[in-house]
Amino acid sequence: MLMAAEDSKGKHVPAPFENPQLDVTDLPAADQATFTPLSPQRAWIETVYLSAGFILPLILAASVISLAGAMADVLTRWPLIFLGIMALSAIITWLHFEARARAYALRKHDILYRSGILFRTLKAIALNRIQHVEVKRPYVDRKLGLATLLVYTAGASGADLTIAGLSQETAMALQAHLLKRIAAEIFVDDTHAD
Amino acid sequence: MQTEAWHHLPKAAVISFGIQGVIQAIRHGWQGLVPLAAAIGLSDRDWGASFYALVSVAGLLLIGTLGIFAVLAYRNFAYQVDESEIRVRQGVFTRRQLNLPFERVQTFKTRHPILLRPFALVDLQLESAGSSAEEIRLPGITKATVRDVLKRVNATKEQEVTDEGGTPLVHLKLHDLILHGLISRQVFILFAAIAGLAGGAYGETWDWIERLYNWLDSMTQGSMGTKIIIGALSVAAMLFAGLLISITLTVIRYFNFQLFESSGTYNLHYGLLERHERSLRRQKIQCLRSTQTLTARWLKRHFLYVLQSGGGEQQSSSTTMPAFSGAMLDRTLGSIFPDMQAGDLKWRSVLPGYAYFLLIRAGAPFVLLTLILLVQGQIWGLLLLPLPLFFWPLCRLAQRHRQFTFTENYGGSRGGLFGRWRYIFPLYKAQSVTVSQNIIQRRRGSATLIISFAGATIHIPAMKLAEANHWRDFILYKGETSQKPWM
Repeated sequence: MLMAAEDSKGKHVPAPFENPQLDVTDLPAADQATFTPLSPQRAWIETVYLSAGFILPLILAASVISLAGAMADVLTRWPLIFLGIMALSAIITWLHFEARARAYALRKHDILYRSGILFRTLKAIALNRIQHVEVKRPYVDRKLGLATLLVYTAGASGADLTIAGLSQETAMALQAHLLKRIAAEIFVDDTHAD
Repeated sequence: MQTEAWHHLPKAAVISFGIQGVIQAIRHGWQGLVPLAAAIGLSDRDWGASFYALVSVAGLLLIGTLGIFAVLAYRNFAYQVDESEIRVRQGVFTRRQLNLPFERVQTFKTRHPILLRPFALVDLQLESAGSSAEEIRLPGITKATVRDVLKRVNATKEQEVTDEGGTPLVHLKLHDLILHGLISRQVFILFAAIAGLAGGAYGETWDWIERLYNWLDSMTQGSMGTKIIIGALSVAAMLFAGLLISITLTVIRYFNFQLFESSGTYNLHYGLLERHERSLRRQKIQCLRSTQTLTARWLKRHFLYVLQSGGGEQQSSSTTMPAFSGAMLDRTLGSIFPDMQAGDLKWRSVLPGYAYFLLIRAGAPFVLLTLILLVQGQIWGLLLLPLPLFFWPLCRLAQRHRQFTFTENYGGSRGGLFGRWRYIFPLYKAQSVTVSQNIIQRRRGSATLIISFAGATIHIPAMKLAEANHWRDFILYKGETSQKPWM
C-alpha cells in the first residue's frame, strides 16, 4: 500500500503514482497461508448448545405424549425413533468436527477464515475494507477464557466474518490491530482527498 | 446560507406532512382494515343505516386525526445547516435529532409533488451509506434551499455544482415508455388483479357478459367452441386492460425520463404528476445489474439496476432505470465504467457439472413426492422418478448460458434460461471473496466463487478450483492495492 509522505513544511504529499507490471502467477495464494486453528473448547460449547436445542424439545414432546397416555403406541414405532436418534447424533457429531476444522490467518493486507469439512469455505477480507470490529464474550466463553471476533464490512446486514473460539488475549489483540489499520486507512483516504 | 438558528419550513409544507401521514396510515393500517372491510362487504347481513353513519363518522375522525398530526409534525420540524453537516429535529410523540455529515451523503433525491407545485416547493431527501437512521428528509422547501444544501454537500467532495444537467446519456421518449409498459412485470400483477375482480363481479354486475355468452351460444348452437371463444376473448380483454394500465402507470411514473452525467454525478429526472430528481455519485456505485425478461428480449430492451451501498434493513440500495435500448445501455455502462471496453469481456460458461446440479435441484421435489407416496403404500409413485430427466435439455441450456468473465479490472456474471440477467462489477470494490466447495465439487475439483460488494453478492458456481483460487487472490490484490475510493 502506497503511503503518503510529508514535505519540509509538514504538509502531506501523496506518494508518486506507480503502476508496475503485474505477474499474475506470482500473487500470494490465500490457500497457501499458514492457518491457526481455533480452540476445540468452542466446538464443544456449540455441540452442547446444539444438542440441548434438539434434546429439550424431544423431552418436552415425550412428556406431552406420556401425559396423553400415547407412549405405548409411539414406542411400537421404535425402529423409526431409533433411526431418527441415530441421524440426529450423526448430524451433531458432523457439526462438532466441522467446528473443530475452523482456522484463521492474518496477513499483512487481509484476514482469512477457513471452515468446514464436507462443505469447505475459505473467506478473505482485505483489511482496507473493514468498517468496524467487535469482540463478543458470551458467558460460557468468558468462563473458558474464549471470545468471538466480529468483522464488519460495508453493506453486510450483520457481521461479514465471525471468528469464534479465539482466546481473549488473541481476540483483543486482533481487534486492536484491525482498528489501527482502519484508522490508518482513514488517514490515507483523507490525505488523498487533500 | 450561514449556520444560524434552527429554520422552520414554509407554511405550505404542512401539505407534505399530510401526504406522508396518509401514506403511513395506508401502509400500516391496511393489514387490519382490509380484512374488516372484506368481512363487512362480503357479508349478507343488513347492517342498517346507522352502521354506515358510524363508519362515515369514523372516517371523518381519521381524516381529522391525520390533519392534526400533520400540523403537529410541521410545527415540531426544524433544520440547521453548517459547513459540514445538516441537523434535523422532528417528531410528534418522540422528539429526535438527526445529524448527517455531508461527506456521508451518498445520494440525494428531489421530489416535486403535484400538490406542492403551486407553492414552488419540493421535497429533498439525503441518503447515506449507513443505516436508515442516517436518512434526512426536508419536506416542502424552496428550490433555492435545495441548491444551497446540495452545494454544501458537493463542496465536501470537491465537486462542482452545475445548474445544467451535464452530459445527456439517456432521454426516453413516449414510445420507449410504452415499450417499458408492455414488458414490465407489473403487467402480470395487473392481469391477476383484473381477473380476480372480473371473476368476483361476474354474475352480479356484469350481466352483459352473460348476455354476450347467451348470444354466442345461440349463434353456435351451444357448442364447446363457444365456451373456448368466450374464454379466449375474456383473457385477451383482461390482458389488454392490464397492458393499458401498465403503460399508463409507466408514462405517469417515468414521463420525460432523462439521465445526465456531470462531474462524476449521475442525475435522473422523471415523472409526470410528481417530478423526481435523483442523483448518485459514480464512486458510490458498487455493481451494475441488467435483466431482460422474455418479452424484453423480443423487443430488445434491458432493465438496469445500479447497485450501491445504502441504509435500511438490507444494507443495500439500488436505483432502477426504466427499460433501455441496447445503445442506451452501452452508453450508460461506458459512462459509469469508462475504462471498460465491452469487447474486452470474454464470456465463458461454467463447468458442465453445473447442469447435473440443476437436474438434482429440479428432481428433488419429485424424489420427495415419491417418498411420500411410497410411505403411504402407493408404489406407482416410483413412476415419478424418471420425470426430471425431461428437464435435462433445459439444464444443459441453463449451464451453457451461465457464464462469467474477468479482465484486469472488471468482472461479470450472467445467466438465465428464457429471461437473462447480467452483473458487471469493478474488482477493486469487492468487500470479501470466498471460495466454497461442497462434497461433490471437491471430488470433481471445482468450486463456487462468491464475491461480496457493498450492494450485492455475486455467486459464480462450477469454476475450476485453481481458477477460483486465482481470481480470489487477484481480486484481493486489486482491492488491497487500489488507490481509488471504493465508496
